[in-house]
Amino acid sequence: MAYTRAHALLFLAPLLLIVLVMYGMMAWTVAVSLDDWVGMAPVWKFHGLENFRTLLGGALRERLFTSLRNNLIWLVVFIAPTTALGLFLAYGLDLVGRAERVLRPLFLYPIALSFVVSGTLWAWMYDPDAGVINNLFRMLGLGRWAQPWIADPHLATFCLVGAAVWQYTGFAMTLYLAAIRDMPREIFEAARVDGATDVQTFRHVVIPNVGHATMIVVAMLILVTLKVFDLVWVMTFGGPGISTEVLPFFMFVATFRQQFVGIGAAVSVLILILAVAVVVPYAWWSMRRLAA
Amino acid sequence: MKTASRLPWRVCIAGLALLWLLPLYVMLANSLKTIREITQSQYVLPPGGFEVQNYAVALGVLRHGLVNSTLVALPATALAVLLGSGAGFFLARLRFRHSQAVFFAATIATFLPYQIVLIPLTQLLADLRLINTRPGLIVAYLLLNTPMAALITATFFQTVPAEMQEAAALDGCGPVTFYWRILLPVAQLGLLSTAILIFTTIWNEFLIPTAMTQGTFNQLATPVLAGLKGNYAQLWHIQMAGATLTSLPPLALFVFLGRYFVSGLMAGTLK
Amino acid sequence: MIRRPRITQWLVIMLAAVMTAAPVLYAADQQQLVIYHWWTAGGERQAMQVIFDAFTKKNPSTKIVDNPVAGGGGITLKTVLLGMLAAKIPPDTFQSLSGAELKQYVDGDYVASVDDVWRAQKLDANYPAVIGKMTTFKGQHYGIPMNAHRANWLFYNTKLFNELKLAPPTTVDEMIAAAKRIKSSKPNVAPIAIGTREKWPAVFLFDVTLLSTGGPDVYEKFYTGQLNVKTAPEVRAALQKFKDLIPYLYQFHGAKTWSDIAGPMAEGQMGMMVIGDFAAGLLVQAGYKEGVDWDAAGFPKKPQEVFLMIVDTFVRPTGAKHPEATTAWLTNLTDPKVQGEFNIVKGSIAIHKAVPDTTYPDKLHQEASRTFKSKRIVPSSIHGVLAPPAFLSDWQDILTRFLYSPDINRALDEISSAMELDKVSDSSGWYWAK
Repeated sequence: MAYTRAHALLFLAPLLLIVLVMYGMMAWTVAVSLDDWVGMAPVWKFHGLENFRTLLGGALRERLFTSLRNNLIWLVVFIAPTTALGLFLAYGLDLVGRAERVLRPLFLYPIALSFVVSGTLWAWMYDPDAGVINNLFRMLGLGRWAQPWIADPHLATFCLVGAAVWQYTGFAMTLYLAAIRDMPREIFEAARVDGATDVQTFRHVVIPNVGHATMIVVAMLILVTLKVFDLVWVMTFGGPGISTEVLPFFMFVATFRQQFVGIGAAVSVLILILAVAVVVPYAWWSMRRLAA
Repeated sequence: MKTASRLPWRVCIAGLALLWLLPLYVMLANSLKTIREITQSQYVLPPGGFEVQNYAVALGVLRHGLVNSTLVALPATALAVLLGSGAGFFLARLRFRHSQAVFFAATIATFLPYQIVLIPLTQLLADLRLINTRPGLIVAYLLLNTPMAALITATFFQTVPAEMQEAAALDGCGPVTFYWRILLPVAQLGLLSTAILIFTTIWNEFLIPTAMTQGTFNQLATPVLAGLKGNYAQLWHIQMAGATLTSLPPLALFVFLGRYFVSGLMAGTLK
Repeated sequence: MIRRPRITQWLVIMLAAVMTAAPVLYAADQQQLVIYHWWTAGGERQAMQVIFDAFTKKNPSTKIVDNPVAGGGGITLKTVLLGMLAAKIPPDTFQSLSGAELKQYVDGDYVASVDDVWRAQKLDANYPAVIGKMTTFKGQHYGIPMNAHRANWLFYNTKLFNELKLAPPTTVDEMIAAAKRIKSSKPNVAPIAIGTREKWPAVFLFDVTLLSTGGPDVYEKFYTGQLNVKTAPEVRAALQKFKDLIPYLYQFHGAKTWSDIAGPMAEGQMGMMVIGDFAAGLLVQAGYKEGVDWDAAGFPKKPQEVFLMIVDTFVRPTGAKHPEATTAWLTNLTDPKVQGEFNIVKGSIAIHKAVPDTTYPDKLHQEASRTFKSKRIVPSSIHGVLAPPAFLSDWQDILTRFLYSPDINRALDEISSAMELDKVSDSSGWYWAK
C-alpha cells in the first residue's frame, strides 16, 4: 500500500516521540546517578561514580546487598515453582477434558488483581496470631506448624514470594496450555498407542516441546522479580528491619523518603543493567519473529 | 484419552484450585462479617450474616479513589490504544526500512522495569506543572503503555489477511482509510484484548500514583487501599471490603470478557 | 468491502477527549486556600474540621481546598509535596513538623518567613521558648505551630497492674522489673506491647530508654550528632538497656502496627506500651476507658521528667497563590480558643499559654498540659524534628533490625555511618545556635 511521509508522520510520530522520551528519561536517570543530588529540586553536581562507590563499597553496601540478595531469592524461589506448577497445571488441564473450562479461571483470576489487593489479602493470611494460615493450622490440629511468617526476618521474603507464586502461576499455566494445545495431537496419540503413562508422556513428549513457552515464561517472570515493589510496600514495608527490601523498594526509599536522588538513580541504573541483560535478547528475538 | 485416567488429575487439580480460591474466599467472606466475628478470630467460617455496612464504610473512604482511577485509566487506555494501534498498523502492515529498529526500540521501552524512569518522570511532570493532577497521571501512563499497545496491536494486525489489504489498495483506498475503515473494525477483538490488558495494568498500578499524587482529588484507588490499612488498622473486614471494591473492575473484565483478557495477556508477552 | 467506522470507535475518541479535558476545567477562580496535611484518620479528621469551621467563620468568602494525605507523620505527603515545591506550584499552606524537617523547606527556599504573624500574635510571649527555637532559622520564624503531642507516655493495662500490685515504672529498669513480674505470673501475656511494622514505634521505645539511661542533655546531643557514637558510653549504655527489653516484647511485633496492638493491651493480652498520647484517642474510640481498662504515666520520671514533644506546624510556602488566605489561616491557628477546641478532638495539647489545663476532658491530657508548662520540653526525634528525616528513615531500620538481632557493636557502626551519610551534625547546627 502506497504511503507518503505525511502518513508515516501521522501514524508513527506519537510512538516515536514516546519511545524517544522514554529513552531520554533513561539517559537522564544515568546522568543523575553520576551527580551528588540531594533534595527534590535538581542539583547538577557531577561527582563521577561516587554514588556507586557508596552503594557497592561504602555506607550503603550492606543495604544494597540485602536488596540484591532478596532479588536473587525472588529470582530462584519465585520462578522455579511458578514455572513448574504452571506447566503441571497446564498438562493436567489438558487431560481433564471439559472440566478445564471451569478449573482454568480459578488459577488465572489472581492475575487480574492488583498487587495492593493481593498484598492486603496475604498480609492477613500470614499474620502470626490473627492470620488465616496459622488459624487454619490450629483448627486442623496442626498448631505446631504455625509460624511467625512475615514477622520473622528469615521467612518474610519467602512469604512475599509465596503470594507472588499464587498470583503468577495462572499466567505461566496459560502460556503453557497454549503451547501444549499447539502441539500436534498425533504425538499424544502415538504416545498412548505405545502405552506410555501420563507421567511418561509428560516427561518425553510435553517437556521437550515447551522450551519456547518456557523461555517466554521465564523472561516475563524475571522482569516481574525486577519490578517487585507493591507487595513489599503493602505487606512488610521492607521490614522486619530491612530484611525484605528489594532494589526497587530501596530505590524508592532512598529517592523519595530520604531524598538522596543521586543514590536512588544509581540504584535505578543497577536495575537497568540487570534488566537489559534480559530485555535486549528478548526484544531481539521478538523482532526476528515478527520479521519472519 | 482414557476416561479412567482423568479422575486422579481432576481430583488433584480441583484440590489445588480450592487452595487457589482460599484467598478470594477469605476476602469475600470476611468483607461481610461483623467486627465481632473478626475479633473472635472466625476467619475461615462463612459469615453469620451479610454486613453490607462494611462496604458502605469502605466505599466512603475509597469513593474518590475509585472515581479517579476510572477517570485516569479509561482515557489513558483509549489514547494508548488509539495512538499505539496507528503505529502498530504501520509496523505490521506497511513494512518500511526501519520498521525492525522501531519495533526493537519499542520492545525495550515496553519491557524495561519502569522504576528506572520514575525519577525523571516525576521531574518531567513537575516541569509540565502536571504533577499531582489526573492529566499528569494520564500522561505518565500514556508514556508507559503506548509502546506496549503498539506492539500488541501489531501482532493482532499481522493476522489480518494480506489479500484484504491488497484488495483495498486496488480499490484506491489509502492508508488512513484502510486503517480507520477496514483494519480497526476487522481487528476490533484484538483491540479489545489490548485495551483490557492496558486498562487492567493501569488500574492495578501502585508506584506511579504513590510517587506522584496526593490528596482526595487526585489519588487513585490502589494507594488509598494501601492507606486504608494504616488508618483502620485492625479492621480487617473493612480492608477486605475495600479490597473487593478495588478488584471489581478488573475482575469483572476477567469474568465477562475472559477470552479477550487471556488473549491480551498472551499477546502482551509478544509470544 | 469498505466498512463504515463503528460508533464505538468514535465513542472511544470522544471519551478520551472529554475525560482528558474534564480535570482541567476543575480549576476555579474563587479565593481559595489550598492546604495539604496528613490528618486523615477518624479523630484527626474531625479535629481538622474544627479549624476549618473556625476559619470559615472568620473568612466566609475563602473556599478551603482540602488535600488530606494518608500516611503516619506524612511519610507519603512529603514525596509529592516536595515535587510540587520544586516545580514552583506550591499550595497555600501545608503541614510540617518543626525542627529539622522544617529546616529542609527553609534551606530549599520553599517557605517564606512568618515573622509578621509571629509578632502580631506575640508568640514570643505566648509560646514556650523552645518552640520559637524550633521554628527559627537564619534569624526568622518559618512556621506556626499549633499543637504538641507528648511522645513519652507509658500506657499500661490497669487491671493487670492492679492484680499484680505493680506501680507504673518510672525508669527503664523498673519497666524491666515489672515486665519480669508479668512474664513469670502470666506467661500468656506479652509484657511490653509494640508494633514495628511501620518501624517508627521502635524509636519511641528507644527514646524513653535513652532518656532514662542518659537524661535529656544526652538525648539532645545524640540526635543532633554531637556525640561520637562509637566511643560515647551513653549510647552504648542505652542500646544495652534496649537489648535487655527485647525478651519482654510482644514477639510478633514485626507484623503489627501500633494501633493493632493498642486494643490487645487494653484487653489485657499485653501489659504496657510506650507510645505518644495519640494512642489515648484510639483507645477511647474503641471503647476502652481510661482508669478502668488502661492508664498512662509520663515516662521516664528519672533522672528527670521531660515533655518529649512532637509539634505540628503549618507554613507559608514561597510564591503561594493566595497569600491573604495563607496569612488568615496561620493567624487562625494561633487563636487560643481554636487551639483549645482543636486539641480536645485531636488528642494533643495546645501550646498557647492562654489555654488552661482544664480545657481537656481526660486525665492524660490535663497532665500533659501541666507537664508542658512546668517541666523541661525536649523535642522528640520522631519524624525528623531533631535529626533530619533522612537519618530517621535509616534509624528506624537500624532499630527494628536490632530488635531481631541485637548486636550492639554492629548497631553502633550502623548509627555512626548513617549519621555521617545523612549529615546529622551538619544539619542540626540550628539547634545549638544562640
